[in-house]
Amino acid sequence: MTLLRRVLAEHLVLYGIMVAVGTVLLAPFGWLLSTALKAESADLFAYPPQWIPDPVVWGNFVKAWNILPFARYIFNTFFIAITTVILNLFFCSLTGYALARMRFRGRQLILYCVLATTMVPFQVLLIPLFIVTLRLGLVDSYAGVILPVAVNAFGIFLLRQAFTTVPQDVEDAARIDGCGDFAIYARIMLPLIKPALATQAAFTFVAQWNDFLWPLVVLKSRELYTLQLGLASLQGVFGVNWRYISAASVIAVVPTVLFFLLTQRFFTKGLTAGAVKG
Amino acid sequence: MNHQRLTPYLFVGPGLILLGTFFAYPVLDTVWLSFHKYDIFNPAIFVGLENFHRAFTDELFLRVLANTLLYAAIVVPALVVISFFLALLLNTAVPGTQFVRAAYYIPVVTSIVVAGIIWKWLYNSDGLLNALLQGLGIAGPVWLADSRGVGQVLLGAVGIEVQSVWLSEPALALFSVAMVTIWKASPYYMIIYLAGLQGIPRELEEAARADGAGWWRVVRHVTIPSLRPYTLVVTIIATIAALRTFGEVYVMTGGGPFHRTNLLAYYIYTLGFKYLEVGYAAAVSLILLLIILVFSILNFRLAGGDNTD
Repeated sequence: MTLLRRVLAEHLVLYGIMVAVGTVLLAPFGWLLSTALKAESADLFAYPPQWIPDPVVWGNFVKAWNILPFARYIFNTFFIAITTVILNLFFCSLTGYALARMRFRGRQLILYCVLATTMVPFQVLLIPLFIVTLRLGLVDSYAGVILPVAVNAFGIFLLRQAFTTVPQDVEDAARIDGCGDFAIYARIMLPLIKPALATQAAFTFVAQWNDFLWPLVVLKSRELYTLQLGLASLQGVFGVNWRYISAASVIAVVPTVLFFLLTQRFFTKGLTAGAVKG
Repeated sequence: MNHQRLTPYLFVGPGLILLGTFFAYPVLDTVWLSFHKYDIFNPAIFVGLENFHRAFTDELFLRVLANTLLYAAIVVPALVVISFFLALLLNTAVPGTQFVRAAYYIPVVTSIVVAGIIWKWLYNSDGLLNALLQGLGIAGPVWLADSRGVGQVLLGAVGIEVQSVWLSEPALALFSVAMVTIWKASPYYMIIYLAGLQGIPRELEEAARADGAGWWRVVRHVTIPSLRPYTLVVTIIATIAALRTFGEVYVMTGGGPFHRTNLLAYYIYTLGFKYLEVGYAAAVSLILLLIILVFSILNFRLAGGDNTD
């Protein structure tokens, strides 16, 4: 009995610490939500701080929604994120497949080149990348945001790794059945690496939904703005009305959090895949 | 037969064309631009090493470089320690840890714009943080706008006014920006540490405990040494990430006050897109790249240098 008691006590202490740490980590979101729900008449700077608004008002969301073309921003962000995911999965899997399962001249060299790209951060290439995009006539277009991230080294490696784990027998059997190279890739291999594809898709989606620097540089017209750009430009629009700014931020962050909570097992999987060689 | 030989290239072709256009070419262009004076509208003029010479005589660049290194020096150790303890806390068998882990991870998937807005609001001179300090009887500072050194602020709070070069760094503003990065990134590194913790054989810790070692002794002499490869990787990845910080600065401070929070990635952005000093911006980019490459190569050697065959 004493053992049970000790285990129970240990669990209680652990839960206590977990809740305390979690509260500190997530309190900033709580304060954001609280601000978004406060009435025009409520003092935002009241002391002591008022965590639970009295009264709770939803009007700030309506105002934020009406002042900024949110529907447009959300559409743009969705369109860019989804298109990027589709193209990225296609190009990365195609490249990764050949690097994993085909023998050809230059394969090793290509592999090293792809690996080398992971060493150069995006921020360093910002200006020449903008110049390339400008010369291709893609500045201020969806394509200008999407194409530079339509393939990435991380994705190629993740999917290549997944393709190498498929047994050779599977491929041989398909070949005997008369499948061509592309059919083997598309109809046999791709379905077999679904978990890796899901991981890459989840990562790419959130990365694009949240991306700020590149859209900031490449998009000029407000009709093409993503949610993040709209939100960043908002601080000027609303002056210092923190109720609206908070409401708009809540609108922008809720989809990512929901999406993450629904797909989180793919996130931790991708993160730890090959992070450290044991 | 010819058709057979061509197939692999058809597979890798599209990906390589994209990487060539949007990666390889910009890399080469950065090098080329760094030797030129260029403003996008007029033809480039070859200036030799002038851009690099200018960098090392440009006081603002040296200030920004110092800021960036200081910033990494604050953020990286804090991330290593905090993410390690977060992982330790969640590496237990109690039910519900999966859920707690997901909840902790939320700051990571929050966009930098939202994170920046939230913290700018918390740091407001009459904001929540200062209200909490007021509760302790402390008059809160102006955080993101405070160019005094952290040391000066702390001593000032207990009534000591000192003018010292040593106490003026890092500025409280830079420290406040760093806090946001630490808050947002520590659950990310926590996941890496968790993977490491799960690789430590239970018997190792149990044996130490059976020998009468307390909790901290086990952590100190078994857990931390076992996780050394993970600590190295976390350190390197966090350093590279710190050196390329942009969003926090753009959203919260715009590099101010008096350039005390201006970091290299933000400086490059303003040089290129505000002042159209494209050649000079490229030279600064190359300097940043060289610093980052040192860490990247280290990382590459540690993590799977041979996973390519």
